[in-house]
Amino acid sequence: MDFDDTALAGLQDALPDAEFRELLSDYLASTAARMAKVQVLRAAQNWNDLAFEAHTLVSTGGGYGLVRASTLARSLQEACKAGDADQASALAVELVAATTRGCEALRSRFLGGRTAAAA
Amino acid sequence: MSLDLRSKLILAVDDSPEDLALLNAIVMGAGYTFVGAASGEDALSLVHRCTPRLILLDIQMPGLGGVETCRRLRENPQLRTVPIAFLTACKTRGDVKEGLVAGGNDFIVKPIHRDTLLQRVQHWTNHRIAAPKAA
Repeated sequence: MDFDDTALAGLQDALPDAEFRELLSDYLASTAARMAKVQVLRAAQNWNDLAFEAHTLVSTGGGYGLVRASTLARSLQEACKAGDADQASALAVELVAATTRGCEALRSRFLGGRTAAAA
Repeated sequence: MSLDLRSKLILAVDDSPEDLALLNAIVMGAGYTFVGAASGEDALSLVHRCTPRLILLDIQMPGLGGVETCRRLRENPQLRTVPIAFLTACKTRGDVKEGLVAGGNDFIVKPIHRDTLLQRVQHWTNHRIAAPKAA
C-alpha cells in the first residue's frame, strides 16, 4: 500500500480545513525537494548523506501516511549503512517512485486533485 | 478547547520541518500549546524563556544530538521534573539505555501516529517526575 489515509483522517477532523490543507501542501512541496535530493545523492553515490536523508524519510513518510515509502526508506538507510551500493541505488529509485505515488494519492484524497506542489 | 490543556506547553525538538509541522498540528489540534525547536541548540536557548510541561526530543539530529541535548536540559534545575520523551525512528537497546541514562523518561517510535502520540502526551502532562536525588 502506497498511502494509508487513516494516518491523517483524525488530524483532518481536529484541524480547521485551511490549516490542514496548508500542512499537506507544505509536506508535498518539501517532499518533492527531498526526492530531488535523494536522486542527487544517489547519482553522487554519497551513501552517508543518503542514509541520513533516508532516516528522515522513514519518519516523515510514515507520519503522513506514505507507508510504502517509509518502509523503503528504512531499507535504504540500512543498505547505505552497510555500504551496499547496488542495493542502495535500486532502493533509492524505488523510494522515489513509491513516494511520488503516495503523494499523488494523498493529494487526490485530501486536496482534491493536483496542487502547485510537484510530485 | 479546554483552558487546562492550553496551559500545558509542549516543546518539540526535531530537525525535520515536516515532522515538526505534524507534531505542531497534532498537539495544537488536541488543544495543547506548542513550541517547536529545529535543533538541540535552539531548544537549550528556548527553555530559558519558557518552561514546558513536556519535551518531545528527536534523537538523530545534526549538531547537538537528542541524547546530549537531554543531558544538558537536565542540568537546568527548572527542568529536572519535566518529562522528556525521545522521538526516534530507530529504537535499539543501546538507544534506550543511553537515553535513560541521559535523563529521558520515555521513547516514542517514529513514524508519528496521532493517537499514540496524544496518549503519551496526555500521560506525561498529567504527571510530574521526581527530581533526581543529589549525588
